[in-house]
Amino acid sequence: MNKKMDRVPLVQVQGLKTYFYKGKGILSKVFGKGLRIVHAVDDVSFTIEAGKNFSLVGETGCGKSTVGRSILRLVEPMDGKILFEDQNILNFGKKEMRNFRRQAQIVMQDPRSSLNPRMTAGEIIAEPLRIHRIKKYEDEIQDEVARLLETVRLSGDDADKFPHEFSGGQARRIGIARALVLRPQFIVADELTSGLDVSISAAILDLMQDLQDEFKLTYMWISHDLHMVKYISDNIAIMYLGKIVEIGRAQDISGGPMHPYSQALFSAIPSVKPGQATRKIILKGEVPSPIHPPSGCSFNTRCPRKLGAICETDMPPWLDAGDGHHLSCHIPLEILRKVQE
Amino acid sequence: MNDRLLSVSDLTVEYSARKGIGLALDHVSLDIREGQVLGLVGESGCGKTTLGLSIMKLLPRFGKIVQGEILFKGRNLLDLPERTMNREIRGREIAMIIQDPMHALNPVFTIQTQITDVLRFHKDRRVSPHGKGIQLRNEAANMLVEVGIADPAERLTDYPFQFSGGMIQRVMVAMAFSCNPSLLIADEPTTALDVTVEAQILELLKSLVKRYGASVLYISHDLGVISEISDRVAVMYAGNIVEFADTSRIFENHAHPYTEALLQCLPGSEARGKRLGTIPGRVPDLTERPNGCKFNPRCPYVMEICKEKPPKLLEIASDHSVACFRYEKP
Repeated sequence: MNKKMDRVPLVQVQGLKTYFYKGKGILSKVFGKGLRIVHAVDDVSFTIEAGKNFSLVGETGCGKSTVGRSILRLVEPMDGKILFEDQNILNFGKKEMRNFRRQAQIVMQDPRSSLNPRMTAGEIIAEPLRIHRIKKYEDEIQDEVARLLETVRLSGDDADKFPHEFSGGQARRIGIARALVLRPQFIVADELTSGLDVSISAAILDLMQDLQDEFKLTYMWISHDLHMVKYISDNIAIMYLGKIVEIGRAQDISGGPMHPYSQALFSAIPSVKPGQATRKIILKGEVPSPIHPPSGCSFNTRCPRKLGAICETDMPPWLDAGDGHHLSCHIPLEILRKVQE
Repeated sequence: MNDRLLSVSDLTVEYSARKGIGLALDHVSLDIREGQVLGLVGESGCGKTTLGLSIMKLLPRFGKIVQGEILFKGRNLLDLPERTMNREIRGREIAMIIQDPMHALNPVFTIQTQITDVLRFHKDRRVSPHGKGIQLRNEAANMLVEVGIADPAERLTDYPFQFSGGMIQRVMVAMAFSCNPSLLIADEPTTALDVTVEAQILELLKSLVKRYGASVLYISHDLGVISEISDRVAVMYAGNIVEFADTSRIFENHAHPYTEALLQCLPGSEARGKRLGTIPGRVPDLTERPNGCKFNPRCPYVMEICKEKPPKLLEIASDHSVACFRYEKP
């Protein structure tokens, strides 16, 4: 690793906005009538240092997967900057993008639908090699596929199997192998362990950590599993309705979340120590629609510690709690700190 | 309060597949006491759902109960004819909430139709037809209020797809409690939900169970949820109950190697950076179960005897049973 990389964070996201348009049909798009804008990601900024684990946490529909996809330009953001090694990937042309794809990869959420059912595991893993013309000869490709299958702890014979022949955990390993085949620096892991049994997801997490050491990888985890996030992350960002509400080092966030939403989220984790369950903060109602996000603080409709009218009218300030721990709330830091203790 | 509401003994269920016949449940015995929540925990494919379905006698066509007894309030459910099961047991005495609520409800009928169907079938046989519709509708609306759905009159006319995951699970809970059942079988009711919604549903279930005095068989693979909701816990592996004890004993004084391994797989905040404990190998296929103790190929404490014959579920302390040769006295 050269010196320049040590100083510049691997990924910097500044003011990222991704909106989706939802309308009845083509006419509404042409005339702008009945057009509704889904504010999927609304002004999100964060940095990921090389070699670290950054986690994006939030409930279904909060926009965390969209952030992951936007960073890789799998969906086109509306606004903002995404700097990868100090270069804005949103200005990349076709050729530069192609190069970027070798650096940054994603392991998709649902292995069943992200692996082509008509291709064998070997073909799936070899495809990026062929597209990027990394290996010329067929036997080189086959060797590489076999090596990768062993890297993700599958056997070389599995190359001839089809996705449906694998169990959930194994299918995820195929997804990991496919992401790894181009030797990227950065991998977005979207809900990697959701829907797996504990023993299987533990094995996947162990594998990911081994790969990180072996290939010097930087991970961005997208998850709603707080147990896993607490275990794996160096930095955590908590998202609610398209915005980051709290961000900071993992120990600060999981040890003492300050934003009322983060507090509710962490208090809701079921504890395995019976009798020691913490007092739960049960949120009322549901996440509002991102088509009409509430004005002011987006959490004001469900916040148990709402101050009053100010939460409904004004955007909350971005508070600095030190050590890179930031949150957006109208409640002053001193009071947030006090309640937290 | 410690009367046995339901006791399952020696229940054996076979699934016939192309590869042969597999034992989905292998001589399973357990009992649920009145007013208690029994948590049933295990990995996918261990037979938890099969047990729930067997109690309701709703096994798929390729599943067959070959042996055993399911005593519910003194009656053996396995002897009851279908008609009696429908009229007196299913939905009325024993209600079930299944994992995926979106698939459990009929997409082409409104919530009102589906809730009142249950009420009409079980409750209102003798009520005169006049005003019956309104009465049922009111009852359904009351149930929605009970489960915390605002605006029940409006929402009753909605279709399942108009509800979010958490809300539709509330509707399922409302249906389950509509006939005041004595036993509720909840099969992974919060698996598909976010933590904050999961917390809401768990809280709701706890309060309803208390109010209605129902007993619960709570099936889940999430040890955290199980520890929060259950009074007693049964751990299942490959069709057997391997450990059965009070919740606190399972989590603090567990005896079976499988329970130990499961708990070690959980990422806790204190374990940061440390490798997680994983269980080598995987759950054996239904038709290729190993001889002896089924956990023996993956067990770190495996002995010769484990490969020869299966261990019995024995009581090692009061209310704590384990199926493991390490605790069987020769």
